[in-house]
Amino acid sequence: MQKFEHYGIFIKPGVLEKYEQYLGNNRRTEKGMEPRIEISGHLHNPEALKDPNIKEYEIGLDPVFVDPNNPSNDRPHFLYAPPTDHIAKIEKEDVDRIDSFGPWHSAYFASYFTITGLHGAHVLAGVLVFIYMWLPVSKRLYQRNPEHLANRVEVCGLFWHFVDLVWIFVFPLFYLL
Amino acid sequence: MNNPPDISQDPAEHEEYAHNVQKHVRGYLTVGALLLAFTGITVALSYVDFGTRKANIGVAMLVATLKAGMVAAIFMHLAAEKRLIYRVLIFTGFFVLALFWLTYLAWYNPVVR
Repeated sequence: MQKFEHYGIFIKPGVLEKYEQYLGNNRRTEKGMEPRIEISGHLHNPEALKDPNIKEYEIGLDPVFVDPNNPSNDRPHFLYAPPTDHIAKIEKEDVDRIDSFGPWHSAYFASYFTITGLHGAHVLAGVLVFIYMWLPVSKRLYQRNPEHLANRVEVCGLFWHFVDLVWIFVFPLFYLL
Repeated sequence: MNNPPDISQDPAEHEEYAHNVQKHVRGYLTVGALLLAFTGITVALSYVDFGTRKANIGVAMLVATLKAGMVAAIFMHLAAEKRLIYRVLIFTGFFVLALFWLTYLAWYNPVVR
């Protein structure tokens, strides 16, 4: 399961210079961008996570870290680009922290999963409401009091479109920027 | 008790009503298509470097606000609402901004290790 062998390695602040060829921080500092402190990719020796005798991580770099000074890598990419076969060796001594990309990874991923999950729950709730509106209750209500049904439809619509409205902001913030 | 109201319509009225529905549906479809188009535009703009990260976020939020405006005005019928609804909306908006402002305070008291 490659997905679960994708890791981010946070480098200790003091030794960032050592990994300059992957991070490209000299150029970033010049351009006034915040420095990169993390190298990510496909971990080729996951046994290193547990075995204290292995002194370094071998990581198949994500494309950004193969060509960190390329201006096209200054902006995040929306489409998935798989890790490369370009392997970097990172000494465990230089590593602040290594984590897979779950909610525990960083404040960003914590918010990402929480917000996306909550939004999904609201969409699901909306679908349940729609299913309820499809049931024969609606037809009976329409025959008895069409005004009442119209109000229900209106309120369901308001809920659904409010959830839509939230997604309009969530999508660019969490998926594009 | 309540007798069910007479909901039968005379044919002429029904005609006009149906016509209106057609018009509304066309409006909704147009807005839907516009929303899809603007989603594409937002994705495309995310690849453009506007100088700083803040500028990029600003541009994306601007497009998002435009889209949100369309959803609120057309899908949520805000464009044709009574004055009371606007008053409630402004009241709510005030508290939303207050909540955003509370989280903004984290800048002045950051969590550090």
